[in-house]
Formats: sequence, structure tokens, C-alpha cells
Amino acid sequence: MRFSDILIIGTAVMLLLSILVVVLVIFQQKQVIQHKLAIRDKDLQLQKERLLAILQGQEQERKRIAEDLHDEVGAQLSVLKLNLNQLQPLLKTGNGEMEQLKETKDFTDTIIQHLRFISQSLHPQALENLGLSKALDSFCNLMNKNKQVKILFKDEGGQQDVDIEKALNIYRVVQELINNILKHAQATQIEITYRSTPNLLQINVIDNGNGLLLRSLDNSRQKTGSLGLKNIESRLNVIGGNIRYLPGQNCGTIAEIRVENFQRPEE
Amino acid sequence: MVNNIKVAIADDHKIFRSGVINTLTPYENITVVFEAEDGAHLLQIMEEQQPDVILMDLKMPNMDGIEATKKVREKYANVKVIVLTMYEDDNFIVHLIENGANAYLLKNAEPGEIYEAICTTYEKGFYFNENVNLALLKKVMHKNKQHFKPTFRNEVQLTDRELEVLRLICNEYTTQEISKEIFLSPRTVEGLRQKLLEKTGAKNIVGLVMHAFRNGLIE
Repeated sequence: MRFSDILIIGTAVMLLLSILVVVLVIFQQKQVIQHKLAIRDKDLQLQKERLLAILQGQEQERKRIAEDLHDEVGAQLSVLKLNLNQLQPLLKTGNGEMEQLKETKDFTDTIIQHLRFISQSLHPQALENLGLSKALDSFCNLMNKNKQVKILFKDEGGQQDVDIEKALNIYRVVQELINNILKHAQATQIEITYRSTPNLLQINVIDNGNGLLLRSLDNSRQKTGSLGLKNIESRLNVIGGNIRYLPGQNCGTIAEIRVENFQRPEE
Repeated sequence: MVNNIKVAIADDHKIFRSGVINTLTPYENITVVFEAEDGAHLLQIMEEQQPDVILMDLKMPNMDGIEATKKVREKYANVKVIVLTMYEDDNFIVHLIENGANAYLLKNAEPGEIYEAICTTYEKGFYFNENVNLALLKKVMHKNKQHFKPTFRNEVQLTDRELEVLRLICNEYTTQEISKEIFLSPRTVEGLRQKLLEKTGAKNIVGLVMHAFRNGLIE
């Protein structure tokens, strides 16, 4: 064997070995990356589950407080009103007793009215009994009572039942959106349209404000300050929905909420 | 004054039931015959005895007032149901009236109103206060807006021409004005008007307009 042969064979072996090493290294790197990705996926999944648990816990707590207020305190206040009424025939007249009793009764009514507002904001009872569309309509009625803004609700059809968990999240998203519009957009009118087909539920919230909702959205994406709009995104994330914000025709903002697979599973 | 109306109360709060009973005591023509703690309890007692009027809470354990109202309506057609609840919500009002409630009151209603509701539902079959009227009116207006489809559900088929005339009539057009609007002679318009009356079975123009209204033809 000549020296040159040995050289060639040696070089070839060395080359093969180095290729093997490179391949091994790449393979190992790939495994490491895959492992990292798996861990991150798991982390994300865990985060989503944690968020879901927090949201669910929060809702349960709100529901409990709303029901306690509405059912217990409400019933007691109603009895108070009935008792006040029974005082009426016993009163002496002439020194303004009647007027004072009437004032007290009116005041009781005001407290009851406040109680209704608080408990309905905490938890919409209509959602469980009458479904998402009616609950949103009731929410608009409630908001219209304090006259800050005029909200018009339009149900454009679709009879599909919405899964109760998802319905509550969608309700909260709309509630949050309205809160944001009231806070930032200086709108005088808001229109909510509700449309469902077997595969897609779409709710549009259109305001006639200054379009600041779009800007505050950008801001909230950059910093962690604005909880409201973040909340909207995380809630929709949990139920597999999404939201788009578009500039309105003349002014204001159009928010488009879309949720697929929203229907209540058949029993 | 109607004599001796038998009233039952279904509510899960004892304190509220007692409050209502105390309130009704001064009215001599009303007797509270029994109290029930929830919907299921109410129906159980009703197997034995039936009141004339039930004061029904909505939110109750076991069986709520919505379910109980439906059941009462199914089984005892003559028993009147007055919803007495904390929920002030148009959608609840409409839903309950649709499902057979004869009146809808809030728990902080004046005793006089509760008494009036009991007497009126007993005598006339229903008692609608302003809350109920407004909720129902809103629903009717809303429905018309949503089903703005020029079709009559109950087998009345109208031609496009006839529909056009009907809509103009609803907008207070006279025969003369209609004929100008759609380029037909007044005689033909009169013929179409007769045809509309025939087809819808209405006796006069008011009936025709009511028909159009009920079927969602007016915007």
C-alpha cells in the first residue's frame, strides 16, 4: 500500500467521522429544540387552564354574591316595604307623618333599584333562563336606564342555543367593550347586532364615538396597563373566538366578535 | 266586590310570604289558602286543592316559577298566575306572559296594586300594568322590524300588487293617492282593496291594517 492510498483512506475516514459528528450534533440539537417546544406548549396549555380556572372562579363568586344580594337582601327589603305600608293606617295625620312615610318608602324603592342594578351587572340571570341574545338585550335595557348612552340591540336571527360557558364569556366581552366605549370613545350611540348561523356566531358592536377605541387598543397591546381590552382578548382566546376592530364609516369604531363552534352540545 | 278569592303563595322566603299575608289580611274578600316553598311543593299541594289565584316567585329551588307557571297552565287552565318577583326585566315579562302568566308584578309593588291584580285577574283573566304593557309593546314593534317579510303565514297569499296597495293603505294613502302612486285607475285600486278584504277575511280597513300589523308588514 502506497503512502498516498493511506492518505486517501485516512482522509475519507476522517471525513466520514466528522460528517457523523455533525449529523449527531444536529440531531441532538433538534431533539433539544423539540423538547423545549413541548415544554412551551405544555406551559401555554397550563397557562390557558389557569386562566380558565381563574375566570370560572371569578364568575362563580360573582354569581353567588349577585344571588345573595338579589334573593336574600332583596326579599328582606321587599318585606320592609310591605311593613312600611302597614304603618300607613296607624299614622296620626297633621304633622307631616304621611310625607315622611312616603319618603321612606320611596327611599326603599331606590335601594331596591340599586340592588337590582348591582346584581344584574354582577351576574345576568337572564342568561341561564332566556339565552345569550335576550340577556344582551336586557343588558342594553339596563344601560339605557342611566341615559349616558343610547344602546340599540338588534337580533338578526338564528335560533341556535349558545353553550352556557361560552355565552357568559361572550356576554362579558360585550360588557367590557361597552365599558371601554363609555370610558374612551365619547359615543352617544351604540348599536349591537347579533347574528348566528349553525357554524358562526357574530356580534358587532358599532359606536359613533371618536374612534379612540382603536388607539387605546394599540396602547394596551404595547403596555400592560389597560386591563379591559386585555380581558376581552383572553376571554375570547379561552373560548376560541376572535375580535377585530375597524374604523366606522363616518366616525367611531366597529368591533367584530366572531366565535365558531359556539353551540350547546346536544344532550 | 267579588267574594272570597282563594289565593296561594309560592315563594322560598318565609319572611316574604308572611309579609304578603299580613298585607292581604285587611282585604276581606281574599283568603290565603296555602303557602308553598317552591314550584314542586306548589304542584304537590295543588293535587289536593286548587286556589283561584297564585302569587308566584320566579327564583325558587327545586322548581322555579317559570317551570311552575308552565305546569300550572297545562294542568289547571282556570287557575290564574300572578308573577311576583324581584326581576325587573322586559325579557322575563314577555317570556312569562307568553308561557301563561296572567300578570307580572315586582315585589316592591304597592299593596293596593297587588290587591287590584288579584281581583282583576280573577274577574277578567289578566292584569297588565304599565311595565307589562311597555314590554309587550316593545316586543311587538321589535318583531315587526325583524320579520319584515311580505308573506302571510296563515295561508293568505297576496300578489305583489296587492301587497303594495296594502302597504300604502297602512301609510294612510287614499284610493286617489294610491292610484297616482302606482299608476292604476282608482277603480282598479278599489278592486284590489276589496280583494285584500276578501283574502285576509277582514271586515273593514281597520281589520286589514291590524292584519298587516300582526303579520309584520308595517315598518
